[in-house]
Amino acid sequence: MKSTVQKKTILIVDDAELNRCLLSDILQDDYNIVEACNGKEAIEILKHNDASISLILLDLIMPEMTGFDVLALMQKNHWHETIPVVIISSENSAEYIEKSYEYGVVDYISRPFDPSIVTQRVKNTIILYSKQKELESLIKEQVIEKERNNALMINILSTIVEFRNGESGLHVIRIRIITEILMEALRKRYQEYSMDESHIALISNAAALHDIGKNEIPEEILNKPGKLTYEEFEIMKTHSACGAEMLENLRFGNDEELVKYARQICRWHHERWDGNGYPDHLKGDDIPIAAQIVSLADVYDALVSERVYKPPYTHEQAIQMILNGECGMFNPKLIACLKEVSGHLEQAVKLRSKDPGHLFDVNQLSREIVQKKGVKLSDRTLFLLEQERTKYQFLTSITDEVLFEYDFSTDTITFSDRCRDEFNIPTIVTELFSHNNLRGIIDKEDFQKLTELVYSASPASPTFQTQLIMTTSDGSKEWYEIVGRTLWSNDDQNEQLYSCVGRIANIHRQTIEGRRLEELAQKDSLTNLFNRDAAQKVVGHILETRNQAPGLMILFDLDNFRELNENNGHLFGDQILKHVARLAENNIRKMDIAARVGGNEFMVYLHEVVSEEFMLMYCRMLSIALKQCYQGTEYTISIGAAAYPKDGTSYSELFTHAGQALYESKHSGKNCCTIYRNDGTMQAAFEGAVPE
Amino acid sequence: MDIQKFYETIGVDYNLVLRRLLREHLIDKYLHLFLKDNNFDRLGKALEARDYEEAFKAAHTLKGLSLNLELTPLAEAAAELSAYLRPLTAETLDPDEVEKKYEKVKTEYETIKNLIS
Repeated sequence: MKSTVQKKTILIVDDAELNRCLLSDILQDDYNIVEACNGKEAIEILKHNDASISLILLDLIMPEMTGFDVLALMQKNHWHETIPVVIISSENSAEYIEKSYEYGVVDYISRPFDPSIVTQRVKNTIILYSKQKELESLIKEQVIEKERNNALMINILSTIVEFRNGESGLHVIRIRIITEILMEALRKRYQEYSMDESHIALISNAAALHDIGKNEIPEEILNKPGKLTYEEFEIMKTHSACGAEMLENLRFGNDEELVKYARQICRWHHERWDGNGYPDHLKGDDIPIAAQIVSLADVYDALVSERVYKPPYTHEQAIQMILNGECGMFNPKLIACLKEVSGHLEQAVKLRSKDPGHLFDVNQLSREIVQKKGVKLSDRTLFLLEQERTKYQFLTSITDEVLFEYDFSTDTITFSDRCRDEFNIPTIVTELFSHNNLRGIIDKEDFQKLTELVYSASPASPTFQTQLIMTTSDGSKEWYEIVGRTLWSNDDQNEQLYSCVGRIANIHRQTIEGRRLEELAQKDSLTNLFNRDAAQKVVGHILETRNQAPGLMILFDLDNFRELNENNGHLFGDQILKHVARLAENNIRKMDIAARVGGNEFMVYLHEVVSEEFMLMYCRMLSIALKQCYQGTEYTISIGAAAYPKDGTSYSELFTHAGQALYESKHSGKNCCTIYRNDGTMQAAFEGAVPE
Repeated sequence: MDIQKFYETIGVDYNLVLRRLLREHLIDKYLHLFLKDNNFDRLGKALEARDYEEAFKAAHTLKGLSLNLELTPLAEAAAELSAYLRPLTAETLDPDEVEKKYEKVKTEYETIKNLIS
């Protein structure tokens, strides 16, 4: 904690000693003063002390580097963000003042200055900026805390691994420190490796996992006190590839940078610079720098530590052996770094290792985990979790619908219990996309369409809906409606699609019912033939699409229908109509249309008739078929016919002409058939036969 | 040296000075520091070498110093000279004018110098 008594430091930059003196005298009671007599000196001081300077009093006109030059350099190095600058100048022109403010200067005091003003302004500015710094250091503390926790976790995990290998957890910690030290040296000397702070943190954390592959190596080989045989060594060598493979098979986090580095380090920390390493014989800078560094760190630490197969060497001996090339071949740049840090490496490692108290904690925790004494979730959390689960189960059980939740990262879909009854599938289905594991209940095309629909959703419009056919548990195919919502995580830049949830509802009955109602609307309720509107639509459609095939439109009605009704009652009239409709239906082909277009008027449309002779023949057939006795009552029919396309190319044309033919029939004594001719005359087809 | 008398001689209200510079012994120190300052010499050399940019800087600094110490007559003379030199192009400057203004500065400076020492 910084002592509040500590004085802040002010840097005064002015080429005239007198000016510096004046300012210094005003401020030195409350602040530490550092002076620079020109811009260059000022920059030098800033380079070495930028953290400790709280304010700069800057003159503008100076030799070698003017105040503006200093400001420009400060901007370039981003010092201006943390150090406030106050200009003191006898230059009072607006131009200079404006320019200063453009450079981000905080205040401008002109000469001659009033000491009390200077004091006040300096004080205010420093208070303002120190609040800023406080906030920043608060955040830094948090970050450090988090990093420390991460590192602790990794250390614990790798210490567990080390236990099995018969080594102490110290090795892991030391590798981490040595890696860190080497990377810092690398960063300073060789910028081409782009080693920045975050890389150093990640790689030194990842380094802790370099030997996890050793888990797969039999204990007798790992802890053999002597030299390994050729076969044993071959087995030992597999630990690098093994470790990398373990990391490749992670279900989650495969793309995390930490994991990528860990994979590199695991697999290639036994490669050599000359290509004679294992397992892949990588050469030179083909070996990722992370692996190169850990390799060197590992070798050094192995040398200076005791192992089952050897006593420890001294630091100097170890360095010498490495430099002599006795322990493998390394990147000459890394060797240079090692040489550079060699002087203080030993002390640095000692210093940076956590003190023995901490070390024991790590070991203690690891031991407990190994003995399976886990850490418990708080009881309250468990209770709440249980409650939610109970609620969810109940709600899903009282509905007929199947609820689902799909997770994109694991390609797994989970259903509510109802799925077993409805579709005969388990509640958890993995590898949904990779293996198309719902193909038993949804066919490929529908599933494809559904997928596209889900992917077309966005955070702004996340819901989707569709109907499709699914196979139920008893094998029948029925209509279902799927309604769902996609879930997005908000990272800073782009939103990631990570899950979607929804319900699947059986709408088969409704769909069928709906279709039935639709059909109903098209039919005449008494006769169940098409009604007038439907007939127009359907026939019209046929005419539009089949331009070549000739067709025949026939209109007919019962003769003297009113009399029939009066003599026998309306009910009887209805029955006859029904009867005739039935006869009509039974005497047409599937592709033909029969309709009731008026109270006592029927239409039959035949399409794809062969020829005109056929027309005649058909009308005769129809008239015979339709004229029968109904419950002892005789009746006759009048018919009018028009041909397509001869007598009209649209429904209304045909209908009109057929109607005219029918009219002719009516006025020719009824019980006959007339065929339309467009020259005005009509062709009387035949006299109707009298019913038997 | 009696500072109060010094200021009165050059026509400056001593109270003003005191208010700004606060302590008498400090003023003494500052005045001596002032004499040590080399900007006056710089100015002379620069003008001799016709280096007007350098001369401007020197005159400007001199102005600032004089203002700080309430050496008003010198400040004014230096201000005039530096303002004239500001455009900084040898072509537009009239060397005679420069010389005249410099003389003024010189006079004031020497006066003060003599009074202090």
